[in-house]
Amino acid sequence: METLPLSGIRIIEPGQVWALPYAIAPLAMYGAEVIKVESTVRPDSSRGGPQPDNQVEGDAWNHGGAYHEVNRNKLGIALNLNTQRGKDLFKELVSVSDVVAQNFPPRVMRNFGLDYPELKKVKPDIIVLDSTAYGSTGPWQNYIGYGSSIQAVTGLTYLTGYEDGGPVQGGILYNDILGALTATYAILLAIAHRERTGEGQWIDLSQYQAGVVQLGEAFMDYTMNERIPTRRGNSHPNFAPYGLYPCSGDDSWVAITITSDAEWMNFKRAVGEKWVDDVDLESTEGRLHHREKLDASIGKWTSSRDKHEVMRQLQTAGVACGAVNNTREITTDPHLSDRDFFRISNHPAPIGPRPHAAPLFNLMGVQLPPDRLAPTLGQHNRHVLCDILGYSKEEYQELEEARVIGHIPDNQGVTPPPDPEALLRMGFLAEYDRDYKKRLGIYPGELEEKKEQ
Amino acid sequence: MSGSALQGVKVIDLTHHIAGPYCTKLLADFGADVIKVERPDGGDSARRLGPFPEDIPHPEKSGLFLYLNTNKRGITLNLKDPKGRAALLDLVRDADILVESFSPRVMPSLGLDYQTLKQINPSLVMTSISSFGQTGRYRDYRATELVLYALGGMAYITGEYHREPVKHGYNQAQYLGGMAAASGTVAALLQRWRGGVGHQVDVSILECVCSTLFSTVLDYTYTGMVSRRQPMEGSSLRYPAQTKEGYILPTPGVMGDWETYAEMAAVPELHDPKFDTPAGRQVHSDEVDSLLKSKWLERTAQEWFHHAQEWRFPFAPVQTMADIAESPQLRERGFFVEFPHPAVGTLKYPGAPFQMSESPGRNGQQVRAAPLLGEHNEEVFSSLGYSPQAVAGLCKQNPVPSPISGEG
Repeated sequence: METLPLSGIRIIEPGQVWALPYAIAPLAMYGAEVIKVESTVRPDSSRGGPQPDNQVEGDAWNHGGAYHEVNRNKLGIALNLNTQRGKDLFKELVSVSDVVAQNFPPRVMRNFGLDYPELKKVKPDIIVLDSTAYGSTGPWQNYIGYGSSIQAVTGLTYLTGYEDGGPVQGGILYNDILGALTATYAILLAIAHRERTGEGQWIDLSQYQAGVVQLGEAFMDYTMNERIPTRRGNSHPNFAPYGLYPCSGDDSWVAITITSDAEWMNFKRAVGEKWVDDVDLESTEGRLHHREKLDASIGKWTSSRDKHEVMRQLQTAGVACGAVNNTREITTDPHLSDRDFFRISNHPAPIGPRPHAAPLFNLMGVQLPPDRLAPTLGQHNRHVLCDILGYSKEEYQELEEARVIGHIPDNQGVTPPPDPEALLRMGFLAEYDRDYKKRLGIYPGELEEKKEQ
Repeated sequence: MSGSALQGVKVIDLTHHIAGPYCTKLLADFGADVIKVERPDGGDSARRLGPFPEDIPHPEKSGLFLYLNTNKRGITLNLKDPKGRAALLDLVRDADILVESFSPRVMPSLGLDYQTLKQINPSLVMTSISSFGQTGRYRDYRATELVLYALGGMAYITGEYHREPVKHGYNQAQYLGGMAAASGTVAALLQRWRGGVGHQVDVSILECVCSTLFSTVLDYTYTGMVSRRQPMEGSSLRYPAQTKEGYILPTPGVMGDWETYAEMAAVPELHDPKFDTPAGRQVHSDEVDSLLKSKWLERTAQEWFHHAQEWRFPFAPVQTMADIAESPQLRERGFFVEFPHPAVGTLKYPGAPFQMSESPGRNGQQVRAAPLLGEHNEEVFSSLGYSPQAVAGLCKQNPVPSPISGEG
């Protein structure tokens, strides 16, 4: 089997919550040896949820779904960086590693004496990525921000929403994930740079900047025309029809978008009703001019139809169309299933088998090994210290007794799981699907059946 | 400092619209030599999409195109013509990477599938960006930004409770696809540099959209809960609030306690045991909302932002593009770049998402403006040994740009 692109690269990840671990996840899948550094004092806060079946059992801090989504294929150690020996151990690890990627606010690693200038002394060609809300320099460098705050400063919130309404926050973790995808690229670039020149370097990633660069054309409108772009709902300035239309069933919608005259002719043929025959509608200009009337007619046509049926019919005719899916529909989507996008990992009880997403870039022809499960807290303390750093059994035990390393978090509580029935009543959920395991094909009994076939 | 990260890497760019050009922009801005191949009759479809100065369409003045194609050289080729195809194969012969963003059936129909290209250049990395990916039953379906937001689940959870779902502004899905593709391209390049062979990289924009749902997906796969657009009641701290000037996101975050929040906001009435817990604030949400609503109107969004940050609350102003253009943080970090272009003059553009200490790329002083249609025909083909007549015959341009058609 061909070696993986990142085999032999060792990455130290003192990362927390989702953004940074998410960035490193595909690198681990593609062969990097990733050592996640947590501490028993403050374990990764993503360990808590969602708990399998909303049941808090035993070492619940090892059961959280978000933790498993982003930390598969990594090694894990729990190291107390508040102690001098913990800091020394961290530096020892850096001296045999290639990349350190972290997302604490800038002052944290500086205060630990573990920022880039210090780590470079230990390993001259080390690559260090600091991912922060606003960047590690500048007047706002110490300001804090989460995904939702970042969405607001980048301009995305202002630009999202209905034509007649105020700004809307879309997907509160969106900018965390965007920051993560950006960090993945930055690290790969730095590895390429080192491969070519032998040099390490410091990457200063600002999630604020990572958001603004995805709104380039909105910025250009300001820079060219001194005009402040604003919200326009789902509509498109150049094309019509372009929108979401109601379908049969509760809160059920379909996207129909026509971006060429040829597509309009396809739509016309597929619908085959009198209202689409208007010659005025055969040009983009005409359709834009009659946008409102057209939207009303299309809405009337879709309202008695099933969204997936509309999608099938229009796509077959050559029209860009898609059902508005919820998370149940996505995780059971036949196309994503054809592509094996959600892959089942067999966690031990009480988690059991669960689907997790594949990397977003697929090197076709490179066979990925099966996923290794995310580490329990401190699971690889011994492996990392004894096998990688060469500590003796006695030295290891001593470090454990001195609580420099550990397995059990000081605070064992996890956020209490939500009450799905109450959330449903209050309108926060579309549905609470008690048969979800069956639908996802992760019922223990069902898996065995599949194996037998 | 030894040049930028991808210095010396040769990229043939067959992409158009947004996702593909953004991928190759990310490669070009960090040092790769990108040759953008456009069709002679009007070029990249992004040239026909705005914004334009004074809203007057012009193929060399699209803000979208100008932003997405910095640091690339541009040539024109008709790939359906045997001579054009042969010239492309000449270019592929000594390239490291080819990036394309056609619908998956197009490259094979041009006789340019990966297997064919690999025979010419066995170490070639070929990155293919498409809406649905190179495999699967929707492979040949059509998509636009809105269709991807619908199918990818992001639309369903975005917007107001009682209204239709709404997508994020502009073209987030396309950019996500470009970013993931840039990562895949460099990963495949590393694979080759480190002793492996070339590979085709498959990126599906739909999967990129799905991935941004993150915990919402896990709520289903771990517990069976299906999320939707949230009711506004009792949760105003999670939504933008109107201030004296602009909107503020007044989020208490996870660190701060309510007492401190009340003190920071200077609303003494909020110091009440009934508001102490999130559940209590939920029950008495009308009171909380009305107390704060008038308070926010006392200062501007920027004032609240700095004030709350001093108290360690992660408030954020809902910024417009004007706020961003004037942002002291971005200015001090040297984020923006300014450079001349023959058709639109000197303009200010957004720079890079991150700074690399040893790989400054071609940001800063050395930005090359987006290419005019066919600008580098002579330069590129004469370096391959083509005669001026051959170049002229190959790159004949249609002076009349084709009308707007097709988004993707």
